Amino acid sequence: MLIDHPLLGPRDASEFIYMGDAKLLNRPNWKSQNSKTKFLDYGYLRKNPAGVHKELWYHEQGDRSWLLVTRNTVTHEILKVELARDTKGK
Amino acid sequence: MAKLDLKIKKPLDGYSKVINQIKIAEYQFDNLISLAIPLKTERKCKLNFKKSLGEPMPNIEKSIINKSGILGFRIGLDLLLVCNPSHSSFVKKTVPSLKQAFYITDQTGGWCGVRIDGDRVIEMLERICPLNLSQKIFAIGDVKRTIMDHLNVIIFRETEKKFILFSPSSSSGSFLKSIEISSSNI
Repeated sequence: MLIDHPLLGPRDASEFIYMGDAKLLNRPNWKSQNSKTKFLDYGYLRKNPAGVHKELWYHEQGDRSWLLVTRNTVTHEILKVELARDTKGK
Repeated sequence: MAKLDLKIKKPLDGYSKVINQIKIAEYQFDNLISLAIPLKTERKCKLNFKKSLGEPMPNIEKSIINKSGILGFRIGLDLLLVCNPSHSSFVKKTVPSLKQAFYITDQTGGWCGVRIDGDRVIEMLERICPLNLSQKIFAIGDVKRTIMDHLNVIIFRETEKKFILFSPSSSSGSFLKSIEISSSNI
């Protein structure tokens, strides 16, 4: 599988580590009223879809960047790759 | 007390061999340092790099070689490596100058260099390197960090058929073996 890195071009997936669901980018506010429930959801609950999924990949054997990859988990087709730092909070 | 005569021992002890017309030799250097760009100071670092090394700070996966033979390459948005083969004033002048803008870590003992050179070098690399090695994608002077035989490697293209591979010195023996085996198998 090739991941088309936004800065470096297509790179082999063996250079990357899969770091899980991209919902980890949106950490809940600990001051919010139902923060306990939100953190349970944030830490443990995943939708795990068979289809389009947004996920985090870390380029450990490369430039050490975090990527937000939109991938179809059924076909492994990669639909979009963005730098996580550019998408945080959007 | 006996007078000690200390000598630097390189990770591959000056290894050099030719296998299938590919010359494999340890690339020896005096210093290798990493430069980290502090948050929001890229402009200051660019000016400092130019002042300290006499060449503009390279873009990501690009390199420079200055008139003293010092090699600088950028392997991440905020990370560069500078390798000094033998310039004598590097530690006394260049490093203190770079320190005015960058976070610096001495990594001289952490890395080992291997220079590979020969007509069949691409054939050899294709067996272990997942990168596209065509010159359109990986031009002379480009540098990339990747994985070869499960080991972290920084590859620098010196000419069309000459490369320097930097791997962690702790696993340099294993990496050299994989280069030798790949060269024997072409």
